[in-house]
Amino acid sequence: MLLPTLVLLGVFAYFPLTRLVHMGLWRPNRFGTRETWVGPANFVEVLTGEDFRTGVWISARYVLLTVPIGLLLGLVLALAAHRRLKGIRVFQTVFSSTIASSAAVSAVVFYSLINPKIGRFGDVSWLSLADPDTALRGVALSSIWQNLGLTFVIVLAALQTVPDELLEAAALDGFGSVRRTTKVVLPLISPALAFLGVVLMVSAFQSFAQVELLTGGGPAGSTETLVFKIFERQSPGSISEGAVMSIGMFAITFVMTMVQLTLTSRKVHYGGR
Amino acid sequence: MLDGLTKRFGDLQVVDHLSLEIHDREFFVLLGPSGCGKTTVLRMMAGLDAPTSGTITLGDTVVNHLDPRRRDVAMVFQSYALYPHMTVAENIEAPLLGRGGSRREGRAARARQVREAAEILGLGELLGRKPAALSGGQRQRVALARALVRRPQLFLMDEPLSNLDAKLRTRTRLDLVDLWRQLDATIVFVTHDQVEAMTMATRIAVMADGILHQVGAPTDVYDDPDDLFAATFLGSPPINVLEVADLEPSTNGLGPLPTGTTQLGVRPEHLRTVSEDAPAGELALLRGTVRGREALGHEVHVVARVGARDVVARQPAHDATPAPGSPIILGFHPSDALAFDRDGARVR
Amino acid sequence: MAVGDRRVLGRTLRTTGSYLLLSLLSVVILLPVWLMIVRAVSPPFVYIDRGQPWFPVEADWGVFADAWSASDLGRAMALSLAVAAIITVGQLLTSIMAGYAFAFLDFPLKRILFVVILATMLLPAEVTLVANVRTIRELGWLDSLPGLTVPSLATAFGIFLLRQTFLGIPPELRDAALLDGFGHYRFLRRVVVPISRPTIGSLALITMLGAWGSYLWPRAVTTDPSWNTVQLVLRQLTTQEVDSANLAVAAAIISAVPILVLLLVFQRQIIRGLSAGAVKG
Repeated sequence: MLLPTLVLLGVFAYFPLTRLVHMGLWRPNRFGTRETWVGPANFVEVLTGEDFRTGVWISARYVLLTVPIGLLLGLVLALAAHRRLKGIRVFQTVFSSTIASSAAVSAVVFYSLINPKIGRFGDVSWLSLADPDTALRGVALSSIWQNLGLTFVIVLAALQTVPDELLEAAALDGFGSVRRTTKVVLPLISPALAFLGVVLMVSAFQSFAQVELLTGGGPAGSTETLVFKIFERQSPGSISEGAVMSIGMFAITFVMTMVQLTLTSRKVHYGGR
Repeated sequence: MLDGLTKRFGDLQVVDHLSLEIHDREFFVLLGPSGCGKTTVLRMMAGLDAPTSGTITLGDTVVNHLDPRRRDVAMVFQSYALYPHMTVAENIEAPLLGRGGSRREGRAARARQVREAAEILGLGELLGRKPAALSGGQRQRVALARALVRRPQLFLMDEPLSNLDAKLRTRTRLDLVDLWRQLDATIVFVTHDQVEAMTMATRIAVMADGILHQVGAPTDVYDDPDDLFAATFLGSPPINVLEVADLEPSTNGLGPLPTGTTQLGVRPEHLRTVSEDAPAGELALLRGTVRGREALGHEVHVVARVGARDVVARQPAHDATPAPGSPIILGFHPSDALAFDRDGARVR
Repeated sequence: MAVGDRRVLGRTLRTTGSYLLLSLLSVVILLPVWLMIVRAVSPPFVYIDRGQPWFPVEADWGVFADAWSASDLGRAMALSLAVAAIITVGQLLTSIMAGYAFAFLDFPLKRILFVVILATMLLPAEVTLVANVRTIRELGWLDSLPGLTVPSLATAFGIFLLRQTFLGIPPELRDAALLDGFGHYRFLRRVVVPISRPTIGSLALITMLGAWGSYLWPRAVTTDPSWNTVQLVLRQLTTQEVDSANLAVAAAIISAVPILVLLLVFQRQIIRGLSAGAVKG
């Protein structure tokens, strides 16, 4: 019963890991017909090189631009929509609607909004896609919007697990609604927020569709995230470099996940049981 | 029949060399406190757990290595284990669908069997419902119907009454005994409730810590227990245990006790209040103070402090009892007392 | 009485405030969608000439039909649907089988194998992309359904989710099934899967959602435009010039409609699937 799974994961998860190492150590010629040994020096060269560094830096900035704001907005939406009102389901549906939008669709949405040539807001300077200093913000905006539905839905689901009695008890203790939120609700949903944080970080670190559709990595390479750079390096002449960058990216996402998980498992409040 | 049945989980000896013979058409109750291994015995008989050593024989065959299905036994679980996504009818039908047995029978035959089983338990109206839409008592009956639809030679029941409320439990006891008579079947019934054991069993096996303490008819075990554990486990309120050494010489109208006796067991119904001036006759007497009384309507339990322990006496409802704090004398016939040695074994 | 009145007034005010806030937030979220529709139905140059107003100019609803025919959208959506269906069915099969094995069977190396499978959650597809594309090329699977689907047929997430769900099934049910003479296959088909249908449904829906929206992998293993999935068609359209911008936008809207319908119909199940892992119980 396990065999199909093990074969699939073996071929497409574990084998590629070793394969990447191999690809990093051997460089094919221009036609991909012969490989020559380039050795571990290739790793050092690529991982300390300018391209990898800027790729990591751009991806990291992208994470910083998208995750905190995205989380905060999701939280605001969820807190706003977590109440007993007539027709609240309609609002909840609206808030979760961007789940239906793929990365490419949301890129097209923002293409029509902020593309320098045709966008309704193409000339707004602080997110102009034509300016290397601001282009990444425009891309980030489309990612934030796309993930809003997911973030909202998860935070709302977490809010709904907070028992009513707890809030009633807090109200009887004289907690106002703000303090109820910060002292009772937030600590209780912090595991969900932590989980969400990791998911959003890892996915933001690997954004590709938005970048390719909105800027194609430009202007002047200012939105070339790490994945974008790796994707561009698949020709025989550069694939060795792409493989090493992939390993570098693996190390980064791995550490990111681990650090985040250990940090949050200590800080967050696992309620109840 | 069970012979030298032993079950270990790691270092934990759950069932220790248990040997038992259960007769045809018995209502056999395995009685013991929770964690005593009785459920494990049942599961080994069902084939859900494999014994570490020992043999299980059903009829003439050793079934140790037979699949549960091939043992021709049915089990009623404490939680009933009804399939939540199936209707009552489908739940009852499930045992007819498994491999082996009589599954070659057609759909119509199965439907008839299901209907019969449902009929016996009065579930006719409920066949189309899902378990979630049933009351506790109805679920319990579905579980019984599922067990009997295959007409197995042996029914195993694991505390099937414990999830019912008190009133329903009392009624269901009678229903179960009726069912047992009607089916002419053998039932092995596991419970920690001595009332269930006393009221339903033809024979009881008292177990504790994986060890069999006594097997016998309910009244035999009650009247003539083999050890202190069996004596205390049966009866409510439980038997009063008195240290011989604690008894005042003056109350010791007991006559000679069997050698080795260190403790006496006296059941509450054998104790009665004796007034100071009345002739003691051949009664042994205990002097103490009244701690309290629990009136149950049909009788009263008088709790008296005698020396360092509480002694409970059972009295008719309308007998006058002294107020709490006042002195009281309790008497019993020495012949009603059960003698035990230091290890709790009965001395006769 | 005055106090009561004030209290009622306070509540009414608060309710009104809530609605206002919720409506405002809805507008913010939906504004991009609205502008997208405006953009789609307004001829590009006319729209720009009029200073890009908030409402459609010279609305031309035929743009959706144009986008459908001009961009090969029908073929692309059929392909995406096939890809999503294969991946979903495949993942359900592998997840149910593996989840069952980890929940109900005993076999050597069980724990180690579980960790080995779970560990692939730390390995994003983006990392293995370069190597996997090469494998697919060597298998001759570029521009093919196997190339688009096979690497996604098993995921640690699905296996983990179903294993957890299966472990929640009361052990007595397995015992009862044993006594009823159900072997593993029957128990799986007649008891485990029906009982776990909500989770399996959620898993199916979010897998479908993910497969439909996936971009990087199809982009990497297709070279021939006739193997473009829906998402890749959008890329083709956006790289063209201003005069066809409305087509790109219209195509994006069309491509999102099936998912939007799915979301509206199965909102609860999808939400349950997405928040699995984040929220206990």
